[in-house]
Amino acid sequence: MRNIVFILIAVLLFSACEEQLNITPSSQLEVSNFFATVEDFELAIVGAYDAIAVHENNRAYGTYFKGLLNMGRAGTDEMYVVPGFWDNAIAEISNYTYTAFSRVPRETWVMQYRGISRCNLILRKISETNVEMSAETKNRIKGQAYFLRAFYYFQLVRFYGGVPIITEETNLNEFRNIRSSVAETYDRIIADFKEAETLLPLVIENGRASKFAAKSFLAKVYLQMAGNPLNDVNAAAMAATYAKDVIDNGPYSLEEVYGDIFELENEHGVEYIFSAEYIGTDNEGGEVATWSGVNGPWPNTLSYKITLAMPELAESYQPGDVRKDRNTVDFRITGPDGGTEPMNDGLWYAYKWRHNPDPDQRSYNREWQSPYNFPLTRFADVLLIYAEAQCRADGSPGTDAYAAINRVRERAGLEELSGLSGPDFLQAVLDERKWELCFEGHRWHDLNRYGKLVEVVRSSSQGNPSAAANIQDYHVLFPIPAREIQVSGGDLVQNSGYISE
Amino acid sequence: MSRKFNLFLILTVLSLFSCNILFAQEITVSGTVKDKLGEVIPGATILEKGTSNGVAADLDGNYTIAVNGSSSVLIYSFVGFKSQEIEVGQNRRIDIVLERDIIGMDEVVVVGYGTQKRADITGAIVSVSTEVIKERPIQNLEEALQGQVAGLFISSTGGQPGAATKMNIRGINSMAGSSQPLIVVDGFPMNEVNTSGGGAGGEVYSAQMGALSYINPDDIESIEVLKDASATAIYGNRGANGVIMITTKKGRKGESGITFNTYMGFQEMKSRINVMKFGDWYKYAQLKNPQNRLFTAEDGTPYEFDDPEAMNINWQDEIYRRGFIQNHSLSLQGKSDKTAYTFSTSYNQNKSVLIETDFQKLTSRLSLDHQFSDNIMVGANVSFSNIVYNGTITDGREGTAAGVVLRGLIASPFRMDNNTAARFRRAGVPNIIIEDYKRNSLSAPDNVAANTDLDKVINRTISNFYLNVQILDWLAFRSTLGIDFYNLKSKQYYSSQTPSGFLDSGIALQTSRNARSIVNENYFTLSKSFASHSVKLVTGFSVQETVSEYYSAKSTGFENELLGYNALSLGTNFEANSSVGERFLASYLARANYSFDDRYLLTASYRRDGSSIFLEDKWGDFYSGALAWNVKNESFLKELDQISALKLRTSIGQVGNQSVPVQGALLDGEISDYTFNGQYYTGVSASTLENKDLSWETSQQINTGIDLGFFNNKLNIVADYYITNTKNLLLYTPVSISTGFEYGWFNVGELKNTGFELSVGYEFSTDAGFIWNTNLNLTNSKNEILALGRDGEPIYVDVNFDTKVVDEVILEVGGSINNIFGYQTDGIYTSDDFDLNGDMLPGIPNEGKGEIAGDIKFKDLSGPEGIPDGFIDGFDRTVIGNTLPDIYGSWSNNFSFKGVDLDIVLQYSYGNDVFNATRTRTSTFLGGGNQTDEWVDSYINNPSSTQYSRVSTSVPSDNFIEDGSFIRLQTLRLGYNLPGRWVEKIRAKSVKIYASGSNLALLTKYSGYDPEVTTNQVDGRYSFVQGFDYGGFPRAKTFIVGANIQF
Repeated sequence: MRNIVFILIAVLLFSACEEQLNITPSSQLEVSNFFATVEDFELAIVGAYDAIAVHENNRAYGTYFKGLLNMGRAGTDEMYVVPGFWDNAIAEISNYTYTAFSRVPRETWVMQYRGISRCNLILRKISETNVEMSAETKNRIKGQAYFLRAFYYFQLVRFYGGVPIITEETNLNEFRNIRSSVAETYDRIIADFKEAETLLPLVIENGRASKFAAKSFLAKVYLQMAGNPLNDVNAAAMAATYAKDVIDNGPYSLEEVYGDIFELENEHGVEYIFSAEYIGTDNEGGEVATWSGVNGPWPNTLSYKITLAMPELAESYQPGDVRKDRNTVDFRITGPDGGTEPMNDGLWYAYKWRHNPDPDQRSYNREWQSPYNFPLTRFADVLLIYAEAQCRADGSPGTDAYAAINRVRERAGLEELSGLSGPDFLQAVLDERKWELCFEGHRWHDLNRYGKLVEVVRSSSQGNPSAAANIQDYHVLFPIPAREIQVSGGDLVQNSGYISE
Repeated sequence: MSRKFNLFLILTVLSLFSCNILFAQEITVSGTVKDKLGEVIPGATILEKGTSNGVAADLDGNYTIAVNGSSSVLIYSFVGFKSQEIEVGQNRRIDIVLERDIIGMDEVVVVGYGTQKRADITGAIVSVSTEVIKERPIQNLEEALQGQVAGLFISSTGGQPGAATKMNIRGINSMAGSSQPLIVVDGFPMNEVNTSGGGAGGEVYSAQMGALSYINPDDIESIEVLKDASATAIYGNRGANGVIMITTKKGRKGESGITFNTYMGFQEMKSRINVMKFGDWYKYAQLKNPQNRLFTAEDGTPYEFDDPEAMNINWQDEIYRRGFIQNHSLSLQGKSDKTAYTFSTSYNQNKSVLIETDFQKLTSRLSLDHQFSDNIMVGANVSFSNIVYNGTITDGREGTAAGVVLRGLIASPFRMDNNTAARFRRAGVPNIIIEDYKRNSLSAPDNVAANTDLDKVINRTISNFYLNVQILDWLAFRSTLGIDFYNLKSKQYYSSQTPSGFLDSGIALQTSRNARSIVNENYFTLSKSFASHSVKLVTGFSVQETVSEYYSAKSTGFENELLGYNALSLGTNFEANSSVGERFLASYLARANYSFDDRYLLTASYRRDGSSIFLEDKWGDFYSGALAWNVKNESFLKELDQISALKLRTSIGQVGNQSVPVQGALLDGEISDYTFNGQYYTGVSASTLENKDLSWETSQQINTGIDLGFFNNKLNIVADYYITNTKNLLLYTPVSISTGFEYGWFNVGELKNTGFELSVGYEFSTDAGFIWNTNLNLTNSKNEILALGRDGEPIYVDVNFDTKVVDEVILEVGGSINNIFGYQTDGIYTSDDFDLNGDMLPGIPNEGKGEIAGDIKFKDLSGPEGIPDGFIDGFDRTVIGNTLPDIYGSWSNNFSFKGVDLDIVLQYSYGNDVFNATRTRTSTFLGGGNQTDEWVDSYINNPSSTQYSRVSTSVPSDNFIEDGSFIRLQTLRLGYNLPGRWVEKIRAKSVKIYASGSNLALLTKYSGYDPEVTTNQVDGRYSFVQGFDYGGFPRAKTFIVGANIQF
């Protein structure tokens, strides 16, 4: 009888157990319950910026930490990647051996869309939220989300051409992944940046998007539209208008000394408009100063020495240009005191950002915890955008265009330009951009806009013979990741020249 | 020290148990027990029927037993023999001859929630002979089971000691989560534990431990493999992948004694892959990259080295060494009148053939069964194991995380020591370049091995308790409680002198996984026989709760690296992570067995499972039904002597699989940080796609089989055919990245597995005492995807190695999940394909990449219109291989004669392809480093030749597909039972000495180290991916000698 009682108790206990089938996860954040406070929205906005810069595992190949950092500059006539040294994935970008299966184009695609989806979620949540917040707060949050979404689409359209435009969260059962045209993609970018321009205040905080950052990007976007592949005749004038607005009304100016731009203390100085932000602590460092820089005393080396300056770039500087020695050197550092010795190995180092030779003087001690930001646009860029845009719009350079380019040249110690024909002036701007903005991720886009990428890379065989040999006409666009094509079930069309299955 | 320790232990335990309880009895019977050949059977059990009174025969087969009276019945039994019952009557001396029992129809088979006689089984259940385990050098049980059971496929993820394996029963029925069978030890369904330390670098891929590595093989009494739904449906949502039932040794009535088993031996890894020697390689380096100033001067003049032979180093010789292996295990078992006990302990060590890799295991176990009162039995089984593994990164992986095995092939074939540097200087290389190289060369394999620590300690304590109440003659109740504590401590250090740790000035990581699983099961067993009917019912319920916690602390930026992972505080940057996963499972279960006249057998089982993992659809119903016809017991066969057994079986049922990660169904948030104005900000974003509808996989299984025995079961045959249809396949499915996510968990598609299994055993014996036992098993299986995805679109799976993201596996309707996808090669482009200007002739298919003579050529199979279009593009990819063998299995032979026995076990696999991913790095001319030597004659010594293939691509093509068929001499074992007179001198019952070798010979066309390898890929999301070898840890040859002593 006792046995039976025992068994009955056990059976009763068991029925109570069924309750336990509903377990609330203890260590996971459920996003569905998120966005309950203003702080949640602020946290989500930080997450939306994060897609620019993360360093984790494969994702770093799609951000300014590693892969994206080198797209736009390696494999041009200003920079190349030493093949077979560290990372084939990066070298592929430099020598045009990447394919639709390669890591960098894939992860770049991943990270831009990751950023976009984060913006989309914020924009939907804020449109339906009951959380009390001031109009100012709401505008600030929305403005940043629009800015970042436009920024990510701008990356995509330049690297891949027209892409699928996703502005809402996706219901997977109905989702189709179809490319928009290049023009449509630009329309979305312009619309979002304009929205951001309206909503954003003059300043939120250094490092965050601002009204004038949106205007600068509008200038940048319109200028790109004015060149290849769209050749939109009306865009140049728009670019000039926005650039002029930034020059005349914005809070920016040039640093007096060129080299000071790249010193750590000036990262939020007068010249910077919008950058990928890094600090030397909290695992939020970058590798901006580590990829290039010069070789130095082991083990506290100054650089991975992976991305090197092209000898063509070093040789192209005109006599007296102060930027040459700041950007390209052929020595190495011998010790913490910063002493140098010539390398005589025929290599030119990209010296724009470099670690402090003395490890004791650094606020960071891991090589990759480089605290340097990576500028996405700065005032000199806007001046040159204006010069080019005005000349493209009117066919010949006006006084303001000369003034803009000469401001940049003056600081570099070069004489003023004058009396050039339209085409000569445009070429002068292109050269000026190279000397001024080298290693900042603009060159590949600039050459593409001018329709000169293939021609220039082919003729740069001294520094990067494999790129010169490998580049083909179709390399003006990167391949859409093969996997993305495959998953789309035939909806998504690959850029020409690439195998995707 | 260890010998002393053992002796001490033996003495202590002996003195504890030496006080035997004496019984007052009336009649004494004695005699000898022998087999048909006249050999005595020491250890045979003699039990008085209906009592717990029993004795064991001594070394000479003699026994003496005191019984109640002349009506007492004695049962004589011994493993492998038919038991016999004899009434004592007036006899005071009974000499008995036991008959060998080959198939053992009376043998008891362990099934879910109970046992059954082999004769009453209706499902597909294989009992594995413990012969395959004993006296073999194994670190985990899976190694011993390889090839032993028709339908059980096991492949190693590497050759390191204790390595994890991929096991599946009757093919892979699931694509995601796990297709590992459920392991049930002594009735306790084991929680599948994670042996990965996680975190950075190579650990995720190397040094995973096998699921059964915590078990001491010497503790195992029996292993049953349950294959069909009839046998597994009682395990409901965990039964779809089959069940392996392991029963450990219990104290046996009538036997008490000590067993000591010890062996020692060594391991060799002699095979080498031919890579270029320095003399060829530096010329290759000059051709490949004229910019490399180490081999080519600035003006383009290649350097010449005076004695390249002296500079050469074959890294394989540097990283492989002679391994050492030892194992000592001790067990004691015995009984008093109401208590039976077993105690065992073991120590196993394997210093592996790869440098810096070492495995040690300690186990102990105590099992007690106690007759508490007339109708109540209680018992406990407590086991503890401790594994200490010291390793390094072994497997493939790209970039800085590349493993030692791969580096052993691709590292530049010289070491920049002082001698070599001097030779470089003599060749004219500037010193600064040499010094620069020295500083930058961290990737030498021996350096990586020495400076990377992937160490782990695993502790696992499993306690089972049971209470058995015999309520009525026909009704019993059993309640069990199982508690499984698992702790993994992983300690990793990547020194700044390794490629992985260099960037961070040293990385130290300590992680810990704690898992606690508690299961409580309560069930009734009813058994009733009346007339020719016999019924048995089992019904009850079960709850299981599993909580697993993960914690990791990471530190980087070390100025002082001496203390490695033991002093995280010496680093300057810290990171900590933790997570908790909880699962709860509640189940009702029932099974009915009915037999009529021992001719018609019927089994039906049902289980209802509720799982906490799924959000909406928590409950699932699983069931099976089976019929068997014991034809031999029909009157028309009963008298036919040639046929000694004939049974036909068939079953049908539905079982499930719930193996998805805990967060599978949730929209999960992750931390995503950024900085503004030099300040750190925390951010949050969504990291997973939500799927509220996620639910079970259900697998419908049909099985038919036949058991046949001839000539008194000297020849026996078991054959089975099965069809398994799995619906609602759980798959971590690639989704369009433009959604912001790459993958999501979905129930997609349907998969069909079919297979045929055959096992043939034969015993040949002569009157002189020679016995040959042979058993051949073979499995033929295939699978087909019946439905897939949301639109039936193919799903491409990236196996993920190298810098490329390449989909080597295609899942498509009508295809096999083992298909490898890629291009077919068609030789190379030759000068005939080009005109005089070097332009390609019209009509020659090409990729438009500016191919030149010597480039590899792919076949133009199709195009956008479905016909060849002259372009090589995605449309030309096709199925280029299949990793599933057509037939696999083993052939075991045991010869015994006068105390000598010899085992020869061959394991084979036929018709499977292996994707030799190692060759994408060693034989493609990509990147720096060394390569295989196949191009020396053409490319290096004659660079203008077009007779070589440049193979400048690692895109998946049949270039990397190889035939993975093999025959392996898995075991060769020779044992000798020392004659009784010698044995007596040391007061032992028996002494057996043996020599054993494993993996002694391998016959294969495969060009890598070993075709039977599946390198760990990604994070195990695609459990079906097998047959990819990317720098897999090669398997060693092992030789041991040992002794098994019983007191």
